[in-house]
Amino acid sequence: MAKRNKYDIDETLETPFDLRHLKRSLIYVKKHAKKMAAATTLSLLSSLFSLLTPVMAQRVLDVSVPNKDYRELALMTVLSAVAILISIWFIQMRSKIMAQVGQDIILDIRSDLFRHMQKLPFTYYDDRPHGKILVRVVQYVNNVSDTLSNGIINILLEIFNLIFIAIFMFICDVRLALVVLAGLPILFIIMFTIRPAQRRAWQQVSNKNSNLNAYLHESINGMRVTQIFTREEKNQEIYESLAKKSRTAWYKAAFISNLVWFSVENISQIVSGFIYLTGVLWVYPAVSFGVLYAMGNYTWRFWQPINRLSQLYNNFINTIAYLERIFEMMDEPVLIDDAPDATELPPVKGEVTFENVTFGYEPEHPVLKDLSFTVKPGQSIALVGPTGAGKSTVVNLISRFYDVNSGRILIDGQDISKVTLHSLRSQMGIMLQDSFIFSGTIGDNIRYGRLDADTRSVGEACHVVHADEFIEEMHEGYETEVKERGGRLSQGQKQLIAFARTIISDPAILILDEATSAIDTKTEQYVQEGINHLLQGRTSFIIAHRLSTIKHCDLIMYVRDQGISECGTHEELMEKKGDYWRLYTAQLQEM
Amino acid sequence: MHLSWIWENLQGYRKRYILGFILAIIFPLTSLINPNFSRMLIDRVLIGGETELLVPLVLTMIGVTLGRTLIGYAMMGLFEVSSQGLVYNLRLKLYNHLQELDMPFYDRYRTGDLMTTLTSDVDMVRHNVNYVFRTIVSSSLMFLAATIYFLTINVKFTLALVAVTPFILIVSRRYLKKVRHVYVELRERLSLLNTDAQENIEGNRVVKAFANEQYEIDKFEQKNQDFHDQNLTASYMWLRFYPWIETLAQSMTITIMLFGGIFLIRGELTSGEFLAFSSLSWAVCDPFRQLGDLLNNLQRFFASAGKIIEIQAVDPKIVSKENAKTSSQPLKGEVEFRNVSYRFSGQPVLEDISFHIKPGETVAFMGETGCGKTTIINLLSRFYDVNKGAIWVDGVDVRDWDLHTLRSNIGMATQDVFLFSDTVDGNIAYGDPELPDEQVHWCAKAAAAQFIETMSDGYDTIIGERGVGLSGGQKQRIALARALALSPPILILDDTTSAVDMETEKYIQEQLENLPFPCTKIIIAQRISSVKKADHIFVLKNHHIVESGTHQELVKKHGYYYDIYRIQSGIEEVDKVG
Repeated sequence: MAKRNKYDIDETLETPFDLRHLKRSLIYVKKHAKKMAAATTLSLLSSLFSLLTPVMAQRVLDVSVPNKDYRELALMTVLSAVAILISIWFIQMRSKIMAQVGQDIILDIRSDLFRHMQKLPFTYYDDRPHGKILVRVVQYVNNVSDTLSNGIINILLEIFNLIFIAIFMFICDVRLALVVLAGLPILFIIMFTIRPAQRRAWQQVSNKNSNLNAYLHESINGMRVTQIFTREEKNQEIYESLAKKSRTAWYKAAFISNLVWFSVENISQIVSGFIYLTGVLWVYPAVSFGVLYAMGNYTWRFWQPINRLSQLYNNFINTIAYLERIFEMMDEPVLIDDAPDATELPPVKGEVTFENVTFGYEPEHPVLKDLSFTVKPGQSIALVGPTGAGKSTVVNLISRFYDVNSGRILIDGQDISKVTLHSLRSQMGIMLQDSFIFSGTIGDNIRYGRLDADTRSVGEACHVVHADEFIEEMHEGYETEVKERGGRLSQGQKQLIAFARTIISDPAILILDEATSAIDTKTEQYVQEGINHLLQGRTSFIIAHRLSTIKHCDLIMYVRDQGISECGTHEELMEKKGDYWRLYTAQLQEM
Repeated sequence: MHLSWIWENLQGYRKRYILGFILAIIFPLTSLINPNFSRMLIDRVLIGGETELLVPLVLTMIGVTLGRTLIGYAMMGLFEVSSQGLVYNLRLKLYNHLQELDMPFYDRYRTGDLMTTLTSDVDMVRHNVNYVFRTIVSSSLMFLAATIYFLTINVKFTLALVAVTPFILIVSRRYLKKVRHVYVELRERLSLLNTDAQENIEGNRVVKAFANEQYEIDKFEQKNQDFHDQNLTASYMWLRFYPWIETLAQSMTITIMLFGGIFLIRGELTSGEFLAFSSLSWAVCDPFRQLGDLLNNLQRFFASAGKIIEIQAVDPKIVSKENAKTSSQPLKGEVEFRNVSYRFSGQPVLEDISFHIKPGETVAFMGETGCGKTTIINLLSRFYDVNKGAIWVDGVDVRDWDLHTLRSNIGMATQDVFLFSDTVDGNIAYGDPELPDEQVHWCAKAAAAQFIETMSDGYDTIIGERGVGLSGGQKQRIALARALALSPPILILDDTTSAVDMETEKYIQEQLENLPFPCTKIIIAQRISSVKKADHIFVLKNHHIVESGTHQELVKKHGYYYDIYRIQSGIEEVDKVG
């Protein structure tokens, strides 16, 4: 298992710099190749039209003005205006197309990332601060939009521009053109020299930013704990040091990146100096003044696009730091997925079999070892035993939240690893210890169990678990808005809602993991009465500590030491005078 | 308003910001130096043949460029430093503010909202402070300088040239007005996207448990699409105005051609003057061509800054009074509720609750789900304030205690266990990071959390956020150890052992009875076994205390408590349940 990550640990990435990430992002860009080609063409056309204006201005100066020809002047003005309007129109079209392309690209990347996230196992979420996942889905994806759309087009345009000017230079004078080009290797050497540092710096920016946001996210979620433990000052210190690191990382990246601009400007000046030097001192009589003048001009025009290209290059380096994080997440292995030949699990009768199951969250520390048992359809099973013995693990394996290390788990004789996850889990009602409530109405939260449930079934489900009373007492009843994690609901109320949400899904197999731990005994009794008839004909696994809940299950399994030490009905186990008996009498004595 | 807000938050970086602006004004001017030298080079070396001037001129130009780029580099650096400095200040302020804000605030704002503000909004402010403001200033100055220079050459021609300016400004104003709500909405949609993703991540277990991945995907796609659409709406809105602004800006080129031509023909302008105009026309034209980018950024800035200011303006209702009582000594731990009533959004939660807990006593609260047990401790630790009555701790109204003093005397282990993604050690020592290891180990033992030692890295094992790698009972025990680590005079256990097995609970109770520090204990529980040893047990029902007394007294009373006792002890066989 990968080492868990926390807010002050950088997520190292050991891939060397290559354009792989950029290449991979082209998958998203390619879809829009036609649009991008159109946009490029429009840009070229627009530049072409905007070039007409100086030509006409030339004509005005050279011909119309000396001739005092007002008509021609007017004509030229109108023509220029038309040329300008056309070029603006082209740009407007290009911008429209590219706005769409840019947005479509990030829509797709984000969508793919989110889809992948839904397949990632619990361990992925358990192993890192959630804030680090969040920034990737939202912020990082936003950051790459412009580079992947306009950035690519602009690079193409600047390269066209460069080639165009280079051709003119070579036509003008080959030797001088070579002098101009001689500056390029120097620039490349500088860029290659600083690139590793530059890339590391941007990686650091994304790392430090991710740490900062992870800490912030956790701070917001744990604010109540912080306030009750009056840890504000210490947290402020930690946040401050993280903010400082993020700031320093940014400075470093910005200072290194700006060096590129600095180098380009200076090299271009040196090159244009050399043009005059070589022109005058070396080849002078051979070249005319006009050629020299033109070359000086071209040098400037040649290095202008290089300057802009270097800016784009900086953006790309920056973008790659984000892209590699995004792709890293997309490459995160899906540990639990449908087998290639997975079949739909037919409607479940409810027989559950464990065959020599061994499992550990870390394989070297098995929680369950060589566990075998069979549960008949319709039986209710209580899992008891000390905390951390593996009760939850048993139910986690049935719902295939984790895959067994060895052995098999069968439902109605079908290996659960060979059926689709959706057909398996949608037939199970799993109520977890963490009764997470989504923001939305209470009704929405209950409907989460069955999305198409109507109001009546929502009410019925709530009635079964005795949640209808307190919900109806609320101002807006089922329409009452609750915030993430339930805000003002009490823990017990949240559990009742989570319970109703499980009930409404009408599962063939019901798994209740501490489903009533926060509910008072009386309510629990009502809940039990309510679900009692519901349990008929359904297999159920119940993890609970209260013996009143456990006693009347068909089968009680005592989980201990990586396996089941005892199994039987309440009466059988009481007679056996073993672990269960000890537990039961200890509890009675407590009374 | 926004300017003074920025100025305030630039504290510590103001000088550098100003210096940056000065350089931002100088920097464009430095680009006017080299053209003079290159003209000299052409005139005197190439045409005039003064070859000896060549090398010095070339070297001077290289030197000038070096100086110029150094200025530029310094300017960019100053802006990076000061804008990052502003972000740094802003982040610290906001974080500090968030820590002061009370539960009513957190009931109202979603985590995704707050995350958006401290990430995207803050970054939008940075971008504007770094780049947009400087560009606006240097562009306006450039425009002004060029206009003044033009005026010295030819007034009439200049006026003709800048005549379009008012129109551009009018169109810009209309655009700003129209686009404002578009960007406010865009920001809101980003926030919704954040909220949706954040809840999906947070609730990933529930999503999987219900096999609702597709539903989540559909929901997220919708938000993703909404954000996408709004981005396009903003772009398209700009592109509708773009031709107008761009045409007006470029009309200056036409003006130069037309009026320049006319004036030249009429002899009102010399060709030298004309050249001066046309070669500097970019200085008046370019600022307007950048306008769109600047306007859009500005409007986004206002949307983002507005949100930050909105959050900054929320005053926490629950704060220490002026002259609030502090105490460096641990409190005695006496707690008294006097006729306390509390309502939440108009609905009564607690009514007329009174009780008195002497230092060192153990009291317990029982009652039905949602009856207000947790509210009692939320009021005691001032997460909310009472509507009527008063709560006294050590003879002082909790509202008169310094909040820090009050809360640092309360150790609380809550139902909803939130652990931090930190080591086990860091989690237990959360309230006192300096706590020595032996003390941490002692707390863990007292909370029956010895299982820590069997974990891969023992106390240095990193546990995930919300402790998701641990079982419910394990989380509860770490939370208990965390509360014990404070040696609090008042210890609150809000259903802390509900997921712990009976044997372990018994062990924990024994430990709690023999704590090495004086401690008043308030226990909320559902199990009789958790509360029976308490000095006083209160039963809450319909917002009131309906029963109170010791275990024996309550059992004799044959009321609610007795019912629970019978059910749990199995005296009354629960046949009807099955």
